[in-house]
Amino acid sequence: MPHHRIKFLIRSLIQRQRAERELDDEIRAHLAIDKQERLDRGEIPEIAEQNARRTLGNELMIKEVTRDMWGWMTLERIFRDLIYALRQLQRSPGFAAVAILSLALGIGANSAIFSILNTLLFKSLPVPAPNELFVLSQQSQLAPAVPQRLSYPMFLRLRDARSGALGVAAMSHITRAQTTLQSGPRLEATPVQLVSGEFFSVLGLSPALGRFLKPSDNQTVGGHAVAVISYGFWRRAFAGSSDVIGRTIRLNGAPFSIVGVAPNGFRGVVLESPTDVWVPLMMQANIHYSRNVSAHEDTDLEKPWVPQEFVEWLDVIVRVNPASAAGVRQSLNAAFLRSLESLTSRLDPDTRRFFRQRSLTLEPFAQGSSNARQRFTSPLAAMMAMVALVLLIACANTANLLMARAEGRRREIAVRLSIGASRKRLIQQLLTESFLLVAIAAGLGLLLAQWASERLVRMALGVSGAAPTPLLTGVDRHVLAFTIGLSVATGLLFGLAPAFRATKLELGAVTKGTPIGRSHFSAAKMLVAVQVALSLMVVFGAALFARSLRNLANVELGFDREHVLTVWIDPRSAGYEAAQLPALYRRLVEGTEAIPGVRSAAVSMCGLALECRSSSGGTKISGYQAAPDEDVRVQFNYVGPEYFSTVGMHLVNGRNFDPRDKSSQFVVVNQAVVRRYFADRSPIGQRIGNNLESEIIGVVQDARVNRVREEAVPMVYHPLEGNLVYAESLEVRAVGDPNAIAADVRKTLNQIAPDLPIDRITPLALQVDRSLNPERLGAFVSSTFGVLALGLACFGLYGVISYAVTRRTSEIGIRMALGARPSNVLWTILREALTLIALGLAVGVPVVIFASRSIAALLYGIEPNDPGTLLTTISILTSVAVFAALWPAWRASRVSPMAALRHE
Amino acid sequence: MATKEPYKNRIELLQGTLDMLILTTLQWGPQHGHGIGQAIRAGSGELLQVETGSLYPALHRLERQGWLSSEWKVSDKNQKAKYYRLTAAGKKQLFAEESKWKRLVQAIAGVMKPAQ
Repeated sequence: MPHHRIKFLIRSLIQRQRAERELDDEIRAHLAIDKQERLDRGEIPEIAEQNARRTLGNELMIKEVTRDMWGWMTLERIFRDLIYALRQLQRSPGFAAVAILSLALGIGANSAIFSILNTLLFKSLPVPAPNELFVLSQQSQLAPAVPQRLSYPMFLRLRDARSGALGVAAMSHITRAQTTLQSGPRLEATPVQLVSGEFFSVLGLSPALGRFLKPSDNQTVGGHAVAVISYGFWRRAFAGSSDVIGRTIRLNGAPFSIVGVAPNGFRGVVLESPTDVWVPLMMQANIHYSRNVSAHEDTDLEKPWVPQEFVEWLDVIVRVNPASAAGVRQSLNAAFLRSLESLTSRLDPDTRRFFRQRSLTLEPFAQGSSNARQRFTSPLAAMMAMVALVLLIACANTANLLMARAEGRRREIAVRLSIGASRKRLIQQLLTESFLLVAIAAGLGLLLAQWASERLVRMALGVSGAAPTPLLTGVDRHVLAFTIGLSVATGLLFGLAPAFRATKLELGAVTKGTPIGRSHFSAAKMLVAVQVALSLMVVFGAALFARSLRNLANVELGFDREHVLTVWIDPRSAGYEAAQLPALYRRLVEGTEAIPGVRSAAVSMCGLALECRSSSGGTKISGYQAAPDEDVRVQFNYVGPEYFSTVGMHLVNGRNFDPRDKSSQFVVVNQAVVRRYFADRSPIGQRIGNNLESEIIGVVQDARVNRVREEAVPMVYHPLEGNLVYAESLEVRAVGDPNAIAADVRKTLNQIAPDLPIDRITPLALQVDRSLNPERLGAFVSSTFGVLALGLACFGLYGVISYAVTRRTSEIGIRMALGARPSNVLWTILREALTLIALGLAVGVPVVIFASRSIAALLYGIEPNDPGTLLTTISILTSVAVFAALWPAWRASRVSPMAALRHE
Repeated sequence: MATKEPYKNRIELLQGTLDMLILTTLQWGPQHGHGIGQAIRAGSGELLQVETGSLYPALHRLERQGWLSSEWKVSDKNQKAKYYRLTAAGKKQLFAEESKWKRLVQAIAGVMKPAQ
């Protein structure tokens, strides 16, 4: 609350107290004068006093009505209503607890999911005018998608194109580098980004300490060993020491001198990968950066990438006045196409076509880039819908509770109406109570959201242990606004109808204490039916996600996840020369295979279930005629001799590599290649490659090497032998449980190759499991809320049935007196419950069949309207609901006729 | 606590006319609440009984509207009381209400005459 408002409130409270005292005095004076007059007329003092009081009437009422004439009390009246509401809640703590808890869970869940969505979709980078930032993205008419990156020379041309942009900068992806400080132990691998000298000025940041990289820091290849570190890294690794400037840090062995510290709060431009160190692009080869690259025609990836025209590895961001964005895009694109034209003129027609159908567009970059955004947005949207349903159920529940309570307070309300309180006033007061409930619930909900959103993010991204959470999801002003808006809507939703209903009373009926009208009861029943329908939706959604996760977990992957251990290696970062690789691989394989409990081992370029996706376009296949607009793109991997048997892929045709097969003269393909390009005929002996340089010697079974839910793509396996390829994984097949040998493997490898740091050794099953994190998250969240929804709906049902039993106690007693058996009574009550459930299902089932189609894309191996799942859901819901109704029904069947008659 | 007839009805019944009666009473000089009530009763030949529950809200409302002002004074019988006084705006308001009232009486009388 702003300062002057508080002052106003205090002043009006003081003023009010003064006025209050004055009113007291005035009434007292009135009494005194009246008494004096009566005394003067000769009445005896006691009688005079009594008469004066009697003619005055109800003093409290007079004051109350008089006070209503003071117009300036709105704030104060709200305050008074709040106190009154608090007292009301105190009077029924059970009701308050249930209402607050269910609303807090509902609001908290909504805020938690929203805060993650907010972070992914709406939170801007902490830089000035973030909406002026754009990233260059490429369009292509060719399927599959073209690489989105650009080469360094292309970046220079775009930067200097005089496009009208306020600034143009280039950056690499985030890579993790082995890091050592001048003194002290090796740190955990640090996230590093290579950037051009314009990077920080385009972002518009100022350093917390020292200076940022400048264009002059990015002039000669390998010549600028300077680094900027993040604020967090400065605090963690250097304890925030002010003499950090000029200190040396080694990244993958290369020394860098620290020149500056980025401002607090800036964690880089990739949402889920907070960056700790930025170094100039010119230092790419020095830190052995080798991620996310597309290489074409005469390139050598082992040489520095900066000068090479056909090594595409950079993302380009521009700062543009949004008003002139269209013009800037046009001139950048024109410059891009012009250079492509001249660059590709001497290439063969196919490659030229591949290059020339590209074009540049500007995509907003205000929120930075994120892989998680694309992966998690639609599961989160589905979850958002689900938690919204849960909140609706909680609302219905609270409305029901409020109505039941209003019934209990009918007499009080009637009396207040009859002594002159206006209906508007009473509704205000009842609503104040609802809003007090919702305000407490929202407060708790925010705490819950803060806690739960971080849990969920860690779970989704597979962060464990003490590692920091990569995505900051805290409650910011968007989340706060969302929660407040949601709470107000919630309060109105569950508070308004009961308040209107409670104050619409036939005065006579109430004061005479006639039985409660049917109207409240049927409204309550309606609400319960609605709850049943809503919880059907949530539970069904949960069941679908759970079954879909189970389907994914049981999918035939095409490799053996149970017995394989993956050792993640990075010989490039460790500084190995290409020529040293064959010997290293031989040492690793032989050393590992000598460990007891290891059946075999093999090195491969790409690990499994990590979406390596190395692929090459423009592939030719003998006997296959590509369509005019088709780019034949196959994924490839380089694998050691025993790879297939180690990871458990079966050869279905032809033969495996043998030691004589050097280089890529011979390759093995998967079944998808045979299906797609050979129309199921045997491909053995056929040729494949950009220049048909390889002969197919074998066919291996399809395997889901990228993602579990992604069908196997056409895949070509090259022999690692004879190719100088940096590998990322050493696959180890265990005789038994792979976890049992992990420690031995690590120890042995540290002995064999002490200069090859090993960060991670993961069982393949775990690796696969992690790739299912979004699905697991969906299943977890939805089943949690399924249970909650079911619980709330049953609670509602229980309440209504209990109420019905109480209401009908005398009727039941009469029936029993007339000879009804307890089982008859039990059944009568249960039938009432079943009617409500049936009503809810009748509404819910068609809605759920219609609505579940919207999550079809998130499911796997199950139709969104799967009848089996629907039936299971219905029977679970029905049995739990019947169980909830059983207790009051049983109680009804035990009513003794005498007690029932006394009940009236 | 429940009264035979709700206060609210009485206020509505007298609203407008009560305001006018109060304003008229105060034409002759400042008066406290009790005195105003007595004056109206006496003036009406004991026919109009002004409930305290209507009188004080009306006084406070009129004061809030600026037609009355008030101050604490000691009466001739040495009792402290809050005295209300007609303001300039109150006088104007009284004039307006009087003429409205006269027109109303004439109109009603005109309607009632044939029936007699």
